[in-house]
Parts: sequence; structure tokens; C-alpha cells
Amino acid sequence: MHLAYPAVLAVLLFSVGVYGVLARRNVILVLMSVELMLNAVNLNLVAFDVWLRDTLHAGQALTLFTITIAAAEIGLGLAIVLLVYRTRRTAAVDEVTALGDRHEADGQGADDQGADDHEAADAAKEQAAA
Amino acid sequence: MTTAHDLGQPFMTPLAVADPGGLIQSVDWVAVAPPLIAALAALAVLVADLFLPEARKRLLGWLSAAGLLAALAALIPLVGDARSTFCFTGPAGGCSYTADHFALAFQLLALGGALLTVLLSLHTVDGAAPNSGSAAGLPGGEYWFLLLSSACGAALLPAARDLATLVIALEVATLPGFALVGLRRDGRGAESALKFFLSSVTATAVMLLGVSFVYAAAGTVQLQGIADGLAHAPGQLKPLAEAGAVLTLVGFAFKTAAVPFHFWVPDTYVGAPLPVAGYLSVVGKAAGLSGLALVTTLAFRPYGHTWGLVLAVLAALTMTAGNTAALRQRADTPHGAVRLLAWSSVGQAGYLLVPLAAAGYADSAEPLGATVAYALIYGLVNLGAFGVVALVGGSGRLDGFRGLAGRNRWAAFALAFFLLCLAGLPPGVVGLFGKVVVFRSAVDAGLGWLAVVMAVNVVIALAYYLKWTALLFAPSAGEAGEAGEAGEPAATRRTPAGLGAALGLAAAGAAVLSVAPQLVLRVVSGSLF
Amino acid sequence: MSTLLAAAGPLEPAARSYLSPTGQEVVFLLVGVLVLGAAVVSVTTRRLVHAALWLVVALGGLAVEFLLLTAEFVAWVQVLVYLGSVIVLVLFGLMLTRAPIGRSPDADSGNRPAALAVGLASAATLVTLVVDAFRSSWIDLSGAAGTTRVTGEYLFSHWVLPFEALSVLLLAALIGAIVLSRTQGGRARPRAGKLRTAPTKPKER
Repeated sequence: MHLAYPAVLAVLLFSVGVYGVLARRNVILVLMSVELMLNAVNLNLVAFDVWLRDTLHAGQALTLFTITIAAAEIGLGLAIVLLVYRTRRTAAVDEVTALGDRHEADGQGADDQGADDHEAADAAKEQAAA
Repeated sequence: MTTAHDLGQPFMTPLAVADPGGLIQSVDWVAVAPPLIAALAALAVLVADLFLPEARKRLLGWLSAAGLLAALAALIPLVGDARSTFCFTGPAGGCSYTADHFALAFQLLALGGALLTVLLSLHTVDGAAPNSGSAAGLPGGEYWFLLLSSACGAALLPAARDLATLVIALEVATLPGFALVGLRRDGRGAESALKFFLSSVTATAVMLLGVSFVYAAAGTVQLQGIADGLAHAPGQLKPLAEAGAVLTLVGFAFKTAAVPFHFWVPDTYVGAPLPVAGYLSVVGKAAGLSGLALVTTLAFRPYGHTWGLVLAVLAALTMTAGNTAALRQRADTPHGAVRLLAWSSVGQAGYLLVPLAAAGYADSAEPLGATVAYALIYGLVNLGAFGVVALVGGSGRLDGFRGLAGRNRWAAFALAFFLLCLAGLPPGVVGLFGKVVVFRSAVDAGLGWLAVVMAVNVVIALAYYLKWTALLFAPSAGEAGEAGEAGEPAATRRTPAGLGAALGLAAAGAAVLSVAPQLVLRVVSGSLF
Repeated sequence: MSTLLAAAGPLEPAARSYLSPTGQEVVFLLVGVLVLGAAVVSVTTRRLVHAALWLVVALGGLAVEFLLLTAEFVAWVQVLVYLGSVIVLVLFGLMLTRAPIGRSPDADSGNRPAALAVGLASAATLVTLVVDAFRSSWIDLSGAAGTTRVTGEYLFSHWVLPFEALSVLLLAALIGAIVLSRTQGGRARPRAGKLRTAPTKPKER
């Protein structure tokens, strides 16, 4: 088989993933795009492994490790998304901006900013009490 | 944990020389002891958390500290000759794990930084303060477990000698970090964790694509083998190999927070619990930096001039961006202190990259010593500064530090000392020496322009470090308002034992090094690999 | 397919060409087009659940590609881990964040044109790079490289250290996910500020 087939497919998939990461607004959709990028890498690694006839099978081993890393990442990532959703009621990337430089410098923002300041003050009090 | 260490001794000799043609890799338990002990301590804490009664949970923190101390002690027998283990059986040779001077220095930084972080956070974790009624306290057992596993990854990384181990160690060092940042489980922490997580995961994916290209061009993932493979790669694979090298650097540059990948730093540090922010700024950065040093000086050696230039430009941009942003911080911004430390840590990362760039130009690993020495100094001093900010607490506005000398003399003196070390002014002589070493490495490698940029940046940095230091000793004009906000005047609070110990350790360490800088600068002269 | 391969094997690289693809190449190309199409739909559709389902198609197709490349074990791991657990997790995530079943107006952010430009630029650069580098490289697919037995042997004779490090990673991810998604009920009482921000929190899940 020509090596260009899997390699081109992999880089195209990777680019699709890059587009998804940049264009998507819902965090879970962004995560799915990252999965596409990681899978493109896996295809690359497997193809190169077979092409090189690597006796150590570094490519396939790294593929298995990448799959594991991806699974671990998505598990933790969804926990973070749920945490954000619980505290902010949103899963959109561009609504999670309360910590930005500008917001903090202005000291005022949307409703959730107010809640956030409240929380921050609370946390500060607790730290003081501790 | 010490038993694991002791058990390792009798097995070590027979296994290390076990038949090289055998199927199973030989394991030198003494060589892998530092990360191994950290991992075992993490497990021990997790299990102990189940069985300890609520009232005695504070023991977990001290257990973690003891584990890290044992891991640090395990470094001592390794000083001397380099020891390799997990070697590949078969014709290719090479090893996955090598404990040489470079690895030991960064393991010292990672484990020592984690130890200071443990001491800093003893009073924030809710198991340690059961009566404060704090729901925002951190869940004890999980906090220590995540911290220790991250430290284990950061300790494994500098000793890894193939890309697979390197990538996984980097993930082990960062992934618990996401959870640690969000561990307070409030809106701020969640947002910080999300930003950190998304950008980091994307950087990992890009890095892995680079790794796959490098693998295709070199035919192996062992760092030494990559250097040989790239040197003899056929002409048509050269562009692919160069692209792969650049993409691989992206992942490590992200963890080091070099400039195009630095935007997550201030937001993440502000939302994270303070000790975690300190931990990320020191140990996280050390992990990225050691990975960067390994792949550049070992694996991509044939392309030294290419990445030398790339890293030099990155270093210049990073220090300039970090320092100018730090300079722009206004005194009344909430969390301004952490934000300033975050930006200053970006600037410091720029200085840390200078010797790496010099190593590319000089075509030798010699300038790396400067990075190691400076990283050790920076780690100690920066954690100290984060510790004082945690001690002062309040809203974290820079204004809150006005007149600190009047309220809490020791905290003010400690913070002033740490800031002067970061700035590189006497009496913080050790910072000055670190900067001189970095400076010299750039000049020696013929990177005059980078040295000039660095000098300008050091002057810019002086401005905000000195402004903050002056604020500490200024008469506290708005004290009434500030004290009301912080809950109570800082002077009436007792310093928690762990925090005091951490600050004492950091200050004592920095003071000793200021008197006898040769202790850390000796690293510069010796050979690292 | 094996006869085709045997016929293609001894040929000199110069004699092989894009014009006479082997059976394996044809299958690879067809599945590849399917994977790519599913991936594109998955990142462009406005229905969130559909995006996840199209991702199943893309990742399942990739498993077939792994099989065609003789990486048998990797293919089964791909099916088990991705189709079996990752997608299920994603679907759970979508449901728990109350993702609408129909068209979602806010699936995409405002910077789609910029994202498209970046995506196209990266695709053009990488494809040029890869095609240029591998224009005369052929994979020899005789000799199976990725059976379970072979996989076990290389994993545990060469890659023990990263394998062990992964166990720390997985445990840390597990504990981290649990501790983040657990509500603060257990040890501490919810405080007023939290209740105000998220009134239904204690009853959820």
C-alpha cells in the first residue's frame, strides 16, 4: 500500500479536528474535535510502524498509550465540563470569561460575574478565618 | 515507602546484570526510586484516607510530606555515575530511564517543589481545619493523592529517554493538575480548570502529531536514536522531520508557558487554590522545561541551529510579554498579587529558555547548567512568594499589601526578600548570580542581542518588583478599609505551622544560597548528561 | 486480497503507481472517504447528539483502517475504548448538560471563518509536506505485525516503564473525575453562596 494514503488521511483528519476545536462553542463538541486530532495521530503512528517494520513496535505501543491518554483526558474533561455547568449553567466556551484580564480590571460584568465576586469574597473570608 | 527502597537494594545487583537477551527488561530499583516512592506515597495516602477517622485526617498531609522527603532522600545514593534502567532488549539498545546529573537536578526541583507545596497547603485542606466550617476547603485525601501523582510524573520526566515515556510522564505531571486547579469546585476554579484543560489537551494533540512525524523520519522514539536517525535521514524526509520537531516543541513550550502558549497562565493561577498555582508555576514549569531541554539537546541535536533560533526568539518574546503585562497590573485589581506573580513567572520562563537557545547555538549541552541552576533558584524563591501571598490572604489586591511591614513584620521581610531575589538585587544575591549565569551563557554562545533583550527585561522587572516591595513598607493609608475587607487584621492571626515551615524553609534556602551561591552554581560547571 | 498483495509484492517501487491500486488500497480509500466525511459532518452539524453519532462512524471507520494496516490489536482496542466508552461518556456529558436534541443555535462560535481558514491552511501545509515526503514510500503488508500475541510481547518486553506510568495516569484521572463531579455534600455543608448560585444542586444526580 502506498504510504501516502494513510498519511494524507491522517493529516486531513487532523485538520478537521483543528477546525472543530476553533469553530465549536460547546465544550463537549470541542472535546470531540480533540479526539479526532488524537485519532489522526494514531493512524499516522500505526501506518509508520508498519512501514518502518519497527522491531520495537514503538508506533503501535505509542498508539495504545495515546488511546489510554485520550480516554483519561475525556473522563476528566467531562467532569470539568459538568462542574462548569453546575456552577455557571453553561457549556459554551465563550461564556466562561469571568477571569479574563479585562473583566477583572473593570470589576463588573454579567450576572454570573456578580455571583462570582460573591464567591470570591466568601473564599477570601474563609481563607482569613483558616 | 522506605521499605520499597530497602527492598530494592538486594535485588538491584543481580537484576541489573540479568541476561541481556532475556525477554523482560531489567529494573534497577534504586535508580527509579524517586518517582516510584512518590507514586507509592500517593497510593498510601489514598488508602489511608479511607481508614483514618475524620479527626485525624490532618495526618495525611504530614504523610505526603514524609513520602516526598523519602523520595528526596532516595536521590542521595544516585549522585555520582549515571545509572540507566528499563533498557531495550535486542539489537537496538538504549534505555527508557537514565538517572544522570540532569535528571537528578530536575527531580530535586520537582520533588522539593512538591514538598514545599505540601507544606504551603497543609492549612487549606479541609481535613486539617475541620472546625473552620469551610465548604471551600479542599478534599484532603484526593488533594494529596493528585499532588503526589503529579509530582511522580514530574520526577519521571527528566529521567525519561524515549518519546513515549516522555509524553506519558508529561501527561502524568499535568493531568492531575487539571483536577487540582478545579478542586475547590466553585465557579472560579471550574473556569480555570476548563481553560487549562482545553488548551493543554489541544497542545498535547499537536505535540503527538509532531512526535509521529519525528518517528517516521527517524524510525525510532529513543532520544539518542532520533539524533542518529535525523542525522542520516534521507533528504526528502528532512522537511517532515523539521516540522515534526517544531510541533513537538509546541507541547513542551505550552507547559513552560512560552509566549504564544502563555495565555492560560494568569487565568488558571487566579482561579486555582494558591498553593496549586505556586506548584504549577514551579513544578509544572520545571516539567515542561526539562522535557524541552531533553528533546532539543538530545533528540534534535542535528537541527541545533534551527531550534536554537526558534527558542531564542521565543525566549525574547516570552520575557518581554510577561514583564510588560506584569508592569501593567494595577494595584486595585482583585487577585492582582497572583496575577502579577503569574505574569512574572511567564517573564522568568523567558530567562529559563535563554540557556536552551544558547545550547542550540553552541552545539553542546553545556549551557544547560545555567537553566538548571536558575530553575532551582527560581523554584525556591517563587514558591516562597506564593506562600507569603497565601499567608496574607484577603482579596489578593496589591493594595492589600500596603503597610504589611507594620502588621506582620516577618511576612513582609520574607516577601521583600523573595521579590528581591526574583528581581536579582542584593540582598537577594542568589537571584543576581542566577541571572549572571544565564546572561553569560547567552553571551558565550554569541547571542548578544538576546543578552541585550534580557538586560532590558531585567530592568523592566525591577520596576514592578520594587514597586511591590516599596508597597510593603509604605505607611498603610487605607488600612481601615482593607482590614475590613480581609475580615480581620493580619497581625492578629497565627501563622499556620505548615505555612510557617514552608516559608522558613524557602527563606532559609534562599538566604543560604545568597551567602554561598557556589552550592547551586556548581551544577553549571559539571557535565549533565 | 492476499493474492493481490503477493502479486504487488515483488514489483519494483517504480513499477507501482497510483493508477493501479491494489484491492487493499481501494478498500482503504473508500473507508477513508467515509471516515473523513463523517468527521466533517461531526464538526459541522448543529445537532449535538448527531455530532456524537457521526463521531462513532469516523472512529469505527478508523478501526477498519487499523485492521487493513494489520494492526489487529490496536483496532480492537479502538473499538472497545472509543466506541465502547468514550462515545458513551460524551453522550452522557451531552445529556447532563441538557444539550438540546434538535438543532442547537449555539453549537458554533462566531469565529467560524477564521477557524475554516486555519483548518484549510493546516490541511494544505500538512498534505503538501506528507505527500512530498512519502511520494515513493510503500508499505509492505505481508507478515502480520499487530496480533495480540505480538502486541503483548513488545509491550512487556520494551515498554514496561511507560505502561506503568500510565497506570498512575489512569488512577489520577479516575480520582480527579470522581472528586470533581462529587457534590460537596459528604463532609461539608453547602454554604449560602453556593445555594444561591445553583439552587437545584444537591438534588441533582
